[in-house]
Amino acid sequence: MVLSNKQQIKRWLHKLPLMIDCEEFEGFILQYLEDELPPLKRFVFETHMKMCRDCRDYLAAYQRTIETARTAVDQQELPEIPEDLVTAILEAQKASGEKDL
Amino acid sequence: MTNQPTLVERLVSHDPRAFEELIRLYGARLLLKAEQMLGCRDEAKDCVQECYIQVHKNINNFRQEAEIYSWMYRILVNACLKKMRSRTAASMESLDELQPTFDEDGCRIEPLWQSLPTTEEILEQNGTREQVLSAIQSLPHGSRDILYLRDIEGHSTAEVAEMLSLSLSATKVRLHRARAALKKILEPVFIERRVS
Repeated sequence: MVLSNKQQIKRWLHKLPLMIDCEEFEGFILQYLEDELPPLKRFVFETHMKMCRDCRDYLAAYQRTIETARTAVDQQELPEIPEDLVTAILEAQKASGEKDL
Repeated sequence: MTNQPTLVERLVSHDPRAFEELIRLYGARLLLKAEQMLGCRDEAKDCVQECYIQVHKNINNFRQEAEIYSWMYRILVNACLKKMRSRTAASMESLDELQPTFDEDGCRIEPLWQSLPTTEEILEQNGTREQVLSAIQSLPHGSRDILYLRDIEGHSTAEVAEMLSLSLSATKVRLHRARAALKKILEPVFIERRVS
C-alpha cells in the first residue's frame, strides 16, 4: 500500500508522546461529550481532533446524527387513534369491570 | 344554572360515555408517546391499553385537582419502561457491522464530508424525516431504547441506566455503539443531501 505524505505524517504523529490514534480517540468520544474526561485526557483528545480531519468530521457527523434524530422525533405528527384500539380498550375495561364485581 | 360535572367526576361516577371520551381525548397523544418510546405500534397499543385500564381501576384514588393527562402520562411511561426493561435484558444484539472501521495503524477509514448539512437542511428534504425515523426503529431494541431515552428524551446516561436496570458502564458502551450505528445508517441521507 502506498501512503501519501499526509498519511505518513499522520501515522508518525500518532506515535508521539501524548498522542493517540483514531481508534483510541473513538474510545474517548462518549466521555468527552459527557464532559467526563480528566484534563490531561481531554487535552490529548482535543489535540488529536485538531490534527485529524477524519476524526473531526466523524465527531461532527456523530453529533449531527443525534440532533437530527431528536428533531425528527419531535416533529412527528399526532396520529389518529385507531378504532381497533378504542374497541380493545373498551372491551378490556368491560372485562376488568366484570372481574371486579 | 347548574355546574356540569367534569370528565373526571363523570369517570368517578361511572358515566358509561365518559371513559370513551377519555380515550378519544388523549388516546392519540398517548399512542404517539408510546410508539416513540417503544418503536413498535403493537407494543405501544398494549401499553396504551394497560394505561387506560389502570386509570379505570384507580380513578377513585385520583386527586382531582391534578391534571388527569399528567397522571395518565406517568402511568403510560412506566408501562413503556417496564416493557423496555424486559426486552433490553433479553437483548443480545450485535451492531459490529455498523461500527467505525480503522486500518492496521489505528487510522480511521471514513467517507470525507465536503460540508455537513444542518439538521434543518436534512429534514426539509422530502421523505428524509421518515428515513431518519425508520433508521432509529431499525436499531435493535436494547440499543434503540437507550438512545431514545438519552438522546431524544434527554435523560442523563446515569438516569437511563437506572430506568433500564443496567449498569452505567454497559449503558455507556451501548449508547455509543447505538449512536455510531445510527450515524452509519444515516450516512446516505447526509451524503445525498450534500450532493444535491
